[in-house]
Amino acid sequence: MKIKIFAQAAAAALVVFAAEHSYAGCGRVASASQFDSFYAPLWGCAQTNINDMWSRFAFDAADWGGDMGYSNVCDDSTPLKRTFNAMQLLAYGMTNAPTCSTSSSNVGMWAYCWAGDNIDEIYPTCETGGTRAKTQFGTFVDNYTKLYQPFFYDETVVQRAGTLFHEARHANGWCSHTSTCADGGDSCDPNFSSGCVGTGSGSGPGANGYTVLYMNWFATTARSNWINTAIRANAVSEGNYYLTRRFGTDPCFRMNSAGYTFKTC
Amino acid sequence: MMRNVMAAIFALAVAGCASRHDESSRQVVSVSHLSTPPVGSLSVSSDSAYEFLDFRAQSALRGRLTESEFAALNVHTNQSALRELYAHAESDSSHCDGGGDGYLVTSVLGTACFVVSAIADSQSRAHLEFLASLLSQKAHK
Repeated sequence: MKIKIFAQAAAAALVVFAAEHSYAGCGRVASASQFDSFYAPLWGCAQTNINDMWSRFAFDAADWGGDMGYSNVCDDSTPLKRTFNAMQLLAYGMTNAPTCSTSSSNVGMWAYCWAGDNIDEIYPTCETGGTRAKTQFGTFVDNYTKLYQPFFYDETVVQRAGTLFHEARHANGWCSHTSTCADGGDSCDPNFSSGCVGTGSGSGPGANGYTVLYMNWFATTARSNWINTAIRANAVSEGNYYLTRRFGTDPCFRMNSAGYTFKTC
Repeated sequence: MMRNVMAAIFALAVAGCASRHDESSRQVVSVSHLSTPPVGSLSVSSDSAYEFLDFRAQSALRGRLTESEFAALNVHTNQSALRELYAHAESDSSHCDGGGDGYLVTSVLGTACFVVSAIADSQSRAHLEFLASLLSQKAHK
C-alpha cells in the first residue's frame, strides 16, 4: 500500500484550503468540548505537517472526499481535520521533537512515528454501531485501519490519539481481543502485561494496554501548553475506564487526578 | 516438513482478522471532583456498573446502580440533557482545580469543567447537581 506514499504526498501538497463553510461529516454536529479548537491553533494546519501525516499513514484522497474533508482540510468539524488533530497530539503532545526510536519508555516520544509505520493505510466511514475503529492485519490480506463515525464525533482529540495508538498496536503485534472482560464484545485483553492473543501475535501489553500507557504518559508528561485541567481529566478518565472494564484480569492499579498510578488490589 | 510449512502459512493468513472496539457496554459518564472531599472520580457504564476512585485514600469502590438510580442517570445524561449542560461549560477548566462546587464531567460530548453556582439555568443546573450528588453518595458507600 505504501508504494502510493510519494504520489499521495504530492497530492496532499496540492490540497487547497477551500473557502470556509461550516459543516460536519456524517451529518453530525461537533462538540465544543472535544478539544479540537484547543489543539488546532497549536499546529496551525501547517501544510508540512499535513504532508507528513498524509505519507506516514497512507491517506488516499479518494477515501477522504466530500464531507470527509479533503477539500476543506482545515475545518475542525470534518473527519479529516479531526483525525489530523489527533495525529498532531500523538506527535507533539509530549515532545517538540518526536522520534522513530522506541528506546524511550515514554511512548509519547515515538507514538506518532510508530503508529504511522505500523498502520498500513487509514480510511473513514460514517458507519456507526458503537465501533470506534477496526484494524485488519495479517499475511495475504489487505491491511488497513478503518475509522468509524464515533471516532470522529464521540471521542475527544485525546481519545482519538489513544485509539490510533491502540489500532497501531493491533497492526504491529497482530494482537486481537477476547470477549472476556466487563465490556465484553470483542474489546478485551486478557491482562495488562500480556495482552496479545491470536495466531502469530506478539508479546507484552496488547492494544488496551497501549491505550492505558498512552493516557498515563500523556497525563503525566504532556507539554504544559498542550494540556489543561479538563484535558488531563479526560486522559485519566479514559485510562481508568480501560483499566476497569477492558481486561480479563483487573490490573490492580488506577490513575489519580494527576495521572500517577496507585494500587487498588 | 512441507505440510508444516503450509500449515504455518495458512495460520499466518488467517491471522488477518479484524480487531476493533466492539464493546457491548461503554462509559455513560464520568464525574470528577478535585478540591474538597469527596476527592475522586465516579465512572458509570451502560450496564449500570460504577467505580468510584478515591484519589486521597487511593482506593476503588465498585458496585451497580439501582434501577431507579440508573433510570435517573439516563434522564440527566441523554443527548438532550448533556447538550443543555455542556452549554454551561467553563471556558477555563482550572476553575475545577479549586473551589468546592466545580466538577469535571466526561461523556460522549467530551470533558469540561462545570461550576454549580455559576449555572443560572435551573434545568442545566439540575443535571450537574444530580451528577454531583451521585458522586457524593457512591464515595461514602
